[in-house]
Amino acid sequence: MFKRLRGLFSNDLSIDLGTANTLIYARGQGIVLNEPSVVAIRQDRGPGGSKSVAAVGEEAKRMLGRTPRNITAIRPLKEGVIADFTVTEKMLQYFIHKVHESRMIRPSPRVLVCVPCGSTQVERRAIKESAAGAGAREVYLIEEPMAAAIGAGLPVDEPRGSMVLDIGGGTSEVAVLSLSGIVYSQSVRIGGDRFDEAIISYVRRNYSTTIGEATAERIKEEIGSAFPGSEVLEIEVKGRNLAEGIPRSFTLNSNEILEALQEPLSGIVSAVKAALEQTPPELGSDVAERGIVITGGGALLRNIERLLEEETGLPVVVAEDPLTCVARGGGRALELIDQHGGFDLFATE
Amino acid sequence: MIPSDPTSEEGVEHARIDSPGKRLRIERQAKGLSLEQVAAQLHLSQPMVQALEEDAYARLPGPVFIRGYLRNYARLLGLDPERILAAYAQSEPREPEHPPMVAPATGLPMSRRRWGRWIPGVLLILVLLALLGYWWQMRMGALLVATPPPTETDIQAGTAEDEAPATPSTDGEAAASVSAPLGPPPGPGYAPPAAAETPPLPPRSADSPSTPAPVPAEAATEPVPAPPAETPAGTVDAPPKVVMTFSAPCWVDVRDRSGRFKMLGELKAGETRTLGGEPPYRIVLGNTQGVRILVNGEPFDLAAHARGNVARFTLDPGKPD
Repeated sequence: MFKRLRGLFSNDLSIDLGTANTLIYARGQGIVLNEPSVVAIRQDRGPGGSKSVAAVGEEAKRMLGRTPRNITAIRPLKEGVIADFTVTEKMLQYFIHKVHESRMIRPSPRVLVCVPCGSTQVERRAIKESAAGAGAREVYLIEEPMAAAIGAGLPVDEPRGSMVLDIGGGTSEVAVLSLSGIVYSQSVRIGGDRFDEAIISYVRRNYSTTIGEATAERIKEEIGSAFPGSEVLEIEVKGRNLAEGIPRSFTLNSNEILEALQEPLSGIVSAVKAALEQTPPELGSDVAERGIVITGGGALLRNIERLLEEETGLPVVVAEDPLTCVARGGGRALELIDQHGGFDLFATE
Repeated sequence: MIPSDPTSEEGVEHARIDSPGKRLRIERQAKGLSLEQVAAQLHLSQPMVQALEEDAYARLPGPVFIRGYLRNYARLLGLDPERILAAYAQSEPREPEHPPMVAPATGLPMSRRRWGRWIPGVLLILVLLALLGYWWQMRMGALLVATPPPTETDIQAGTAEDEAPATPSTDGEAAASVSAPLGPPPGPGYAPPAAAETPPLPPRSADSPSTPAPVPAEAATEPVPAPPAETPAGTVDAPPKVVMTFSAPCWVDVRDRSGRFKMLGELKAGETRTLGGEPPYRIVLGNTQGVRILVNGEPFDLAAHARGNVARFTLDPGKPD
C-alpha cells in the first residue's frame, strides 16, 4: 500500500545494468543517468572493521586501479551478470536515489532491468532481487537484444526478421527478432572488457610493458579500429617496463591495436555468422535485404561495421547513439506496459 | 581506403542546399563510380542505392537503416557522414518514431487484461453502494420502526448476536452478500431487511418495547406472547405458532418462505424456539430424537419425516399435512 503511494512520487525507470556502464532512462525524461558501474568500498581500519561505500559511478571509476589500501574500487558486474550481489544492490540504490534526488519521499519506482539473453535463471533472479532490494516497487526483466532493437528503432513488431548485435562491456549479444519475439539469440562473453584485456596483453607481449585497464580503454577509444582504415592514428602511452621496472612512454598506432583486437573481434564475427546460419531462411533473407544493426558501446569502435560487412557480405548499420539504445528501448517497453500490457516483450525469470 | 580529395569538400559546399541523395550522386559521379560498384561496396542492392540517391525513402526500410546506409555511403565516398545525416534530418522532418508495438496480442487475453484493470474499481463502487444502502436502511429503520415487531423475535438468540456485530461487519459482509448470499452467517445484510419489512405491520409496534432484538427475543421464547398480533390477517388464520423444544443438542436449518427468517446452527438441550416469518418452513433437523415440535400446541409427528435421525421436510402449520 505504502509502496504504491510512494510509487506516485517515483518515475518508471528502465535500467541498463551493464558491465561497464549503468544507464537509467526515466519515463518522459530520457536518459537521466549514465555512469560507470564501479563502486569504491572503504574498509575501516582494524580487523573486522565495517565496510562502507566510498564512491559510486564516475568518481569511483577514477579510483579504479588508484586506490590506497583501505579502499577497493570494484566492478560488481562481470560479463553482464552480477558478480557481487550486495555491492550491486548498493550501487543500484545509489543510482535510483540519484535519479530522484529532489524528492522528499523515498522513491519506489517500477523498474525494468535488461538482462543478457544468455544469463541463467539464477543470474536473472539475482538481478531482479538486487533491483527489488534497491527499492523498486516492481521489477521487470527484458532481454538485452530486444531492448536494443526497440531502442534502435527497429520494427520489431513486424513479421520481418531484424538482426541486432549489441556489443556491451562484458557480453555481445546477437539476436534475430520478429513479431516482438526473439527467434534466435546468442550471447558471447566478449565485449569491451575483452578488448581492453587484449590490448593489455598485446602491449605486454610486444613492448614488455604493463599498462592498466584505464589506459587500455583510452587506447581503444582513441585509436582502436576493427578494420584497416585509410589513416593510421597514433597515441603515446606510458606504462611500466617489465624489464627495467620503470615507467616508460612509447607510441602505439591503430594498426597494432587492430592486430591486438583480432582475437576478440573474430569471436564476435563468428557469433554473428553462427546466428545467420541458425536463422530460418525467410528471416535470413529479410536480414540480408536490410542488414544488421549494431548497438552498444562496442559499436563505437572504429570501422566495426566495415569488418562485419566484409565478413558477412551484408549491409551493416550502426544505430544512432548506440550506447543508450538498450536503456531507451527498455524505457519504450515500459511505456508499452501501460498502453497495452506489453508483457510479451518481457523475459521471464 | 578512398583518399579524401579536395573535390569532396567542394562537392559538399556546392551541395549544401541539396538533398543528401543528390549530394551523394554528384559525389559518386565525380569519383567516376557506377551504381553497381557502389552497391557492391555497400552490400546493398542497386535499387536501394538508387532510392538513396533519389531520396525515395519510402522504398527503403526504416529510418535506422536509412541513416546507416547514408553514413556508410558517405564514408565510402569520403564525405563527412555527419553532414549528410544532418541534411537527411532536415529533409526528412523526423517522422514520429512509430512506436514498436507489441504483437497485437490475441483479442482474448487483451480483454481479460482490461477486465483485470477494472475489477478493483468495480469492487470499490459496489462496496460503496452497499455501505450507502446499509446506511439508508438504518436511517429508514430508525424513522419508521420504533419497535422491532415480534417477527423480530423469531431470529432469537442468533439474531441477538447478529444485531450487535452487524454494524461493524456489514461493509465487508454486504459486499460479499452481493455476490453470494450464503447461509451460515445469517447475514446482517438480511437482518436489516427484516427490520425494514416491519413498517407494513405498524400496529404491533405499539405493544412491544422499542429496543432491539435481545429483549423481545427473551420474551418471544416464552410460548405465550406475540403470535396473536401476527399481521392484519391474524383475525382469520392467525399464523399458527410453531415451537421447537430441544431435549438434546441438534443441528437445525429452518427457513421460511420469504427467506427472511432463518435459523441455522446447533441448539443445545433445553432450548426452546418459536418460529417466526412466514410459513411454510423448510426444515432440516439433524437429530430428530432430541426435538419436539408443537404446532399450535399440538405435537407434530417428526417420525413420519425422519430418515434415520435426520429429518428434511416442509412444514406448513396452516394446513394439516
